[in-house]
Amino acid sequence: MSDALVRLNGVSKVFRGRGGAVTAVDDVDLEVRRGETVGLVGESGSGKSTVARLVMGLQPVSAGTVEFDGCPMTSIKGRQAASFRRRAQMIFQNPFGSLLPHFTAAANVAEPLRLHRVVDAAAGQVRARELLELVGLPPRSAELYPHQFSGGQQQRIAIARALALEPELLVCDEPTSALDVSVQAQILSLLERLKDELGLTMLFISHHLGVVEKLADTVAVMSRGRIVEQGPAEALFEQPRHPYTRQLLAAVLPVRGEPVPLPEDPWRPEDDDGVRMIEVGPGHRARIGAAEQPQAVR
Amino acid sequence: MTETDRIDPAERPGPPDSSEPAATAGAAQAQSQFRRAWTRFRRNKLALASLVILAALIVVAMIAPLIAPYGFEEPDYENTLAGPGTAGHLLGTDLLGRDLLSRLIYSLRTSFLVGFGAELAALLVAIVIGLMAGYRGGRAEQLLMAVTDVMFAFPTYLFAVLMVAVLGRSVGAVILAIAIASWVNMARLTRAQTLTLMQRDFVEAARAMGAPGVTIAVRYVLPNAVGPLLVAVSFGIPAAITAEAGLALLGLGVQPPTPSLGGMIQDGISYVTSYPNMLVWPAVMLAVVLLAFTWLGDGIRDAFDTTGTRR
Repeated sequence: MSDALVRLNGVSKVFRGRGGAVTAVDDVDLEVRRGETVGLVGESGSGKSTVARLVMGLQPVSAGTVEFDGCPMTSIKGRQAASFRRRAQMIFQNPFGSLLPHFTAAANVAEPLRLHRVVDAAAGQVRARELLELVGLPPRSAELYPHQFSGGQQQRIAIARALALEPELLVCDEPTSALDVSVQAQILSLLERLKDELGLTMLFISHHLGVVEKLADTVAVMSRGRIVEQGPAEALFEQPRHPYTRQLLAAVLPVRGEPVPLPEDPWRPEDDDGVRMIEVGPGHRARIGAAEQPQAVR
Repeated sequence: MTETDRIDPAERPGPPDSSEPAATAGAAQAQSQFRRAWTRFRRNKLALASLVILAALIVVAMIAPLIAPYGFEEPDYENTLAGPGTAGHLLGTDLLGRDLLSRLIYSLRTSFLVGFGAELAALLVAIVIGLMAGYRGGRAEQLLMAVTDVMFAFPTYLFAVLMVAVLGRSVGAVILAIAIASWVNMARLTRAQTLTLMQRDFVEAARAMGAPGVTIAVRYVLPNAVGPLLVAVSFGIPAAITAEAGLALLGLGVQPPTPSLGGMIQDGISYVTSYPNMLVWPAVMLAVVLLAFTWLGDGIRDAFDTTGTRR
């Protein structure tokens, strides 16, 4: 357990707006071990992107702690914060929006190196070109601006930028959901390749179970700010225990044949109020409470 | 937090088969926002012509001593109030026999100096305060809002008049007066632009990268606000020139005998019935300058607008 790179303990995030308080993340426990890829799935508004932002320290937590490599994030300041920034990087959903529009591809990739004064400008340019090549972009693309690339190519640039500092943790917030299906597959296999080559630790967020299945070692399913089920990817996909997980799985449309019919009485988030997480298998936990435990798996 | 509602459709990259060459097309050229804007700007003939005219007038103003046939306060007592076409005085002379063409050239110099000077000074202050107000909020924002309220309560002209009364009528004082009276709107524009750009994903991405606030504001946000600011400047310069002309009509413009377009118009008004050419030349020149700036500003706005830069 000590090899956890990131650990969330009872983390909550409450947004207070004009319409009242919204609990985006509710008492989440999550662990990302070194070298492991954790998939975080859930529908829009389930709080999964907020978890990503909390892990990255982009927003403060309302309750609980986020630990990075054993260090609670709330206490890191100044120089430590800078070193954390080098060790954790993020990829966003909208690649075009997250790239600097007035910087060339190479300048975008070299920017984190410049910010953290890792190398001088000339070496940064060389490194940027290497990274662009690593993510499968031709050398001539270095001097082009983000708007001159397709969405998939833009995401490749964003990935190259995130890798520039050789981070230990890569947080991917829906990196493929703004892309065409065929491009999605390319980006996913790129991430898969990089994960193997560079031994990346990833927190991979998606609303698409198929995408997560391809990459994740461990999966956590979120709904309404709560994790309803988490466990090894295989166990979770083979034997989903929580009704919401089953619903999500049923919602993945098969390429051929009839889709799995949705349950007639769909599960609602309120059904889980007061229900605790219980162990349902090795490393596999679900919020189904003791009462439902004997229920047979469909 | 849903991501989708933050994506501006205009920011989405075009499909691969759009008119913009994709990187895969091979010999794609690097296109910075300025290159793209320039490509669009060039298609606007009116704006392009305005730019050429203004550039020519600016050159004329800069080399005034070289091309003006006479000095601006050089009298020719034999030819006072001469009509246009008089030998040696193409546009005629005024009450003291001063050559109107020469005075017109020198007054362009003064007016451009006032216009560019006031706008540049206002821009510098506006960028600093507007960026701080937009990015950080806090004290800069409070200051900006307080000053804005005062300025709105106070007519700009009256304010400029008061400033000139206090500062005097040298060129520098007039520039300062107009700059002080006009920086507020520019600062508000900068603040609004900053607030809009702060919503863009690259700001959050920059934070995740570990960029400090100053870097984000100056290096990432500000360059993307340049388009709208450039438009504001190209409308602000003629406004400053007009302001100087207005002050001159009230007798508060640049101190004579230094000629300015406004000053020449004021001189001409007294003789409009008997010697209209004293009024016509500076009035026409002022109109040309103002129109050219307006068309130029329109052109710049269109050039930047279509690139997806929000205004």
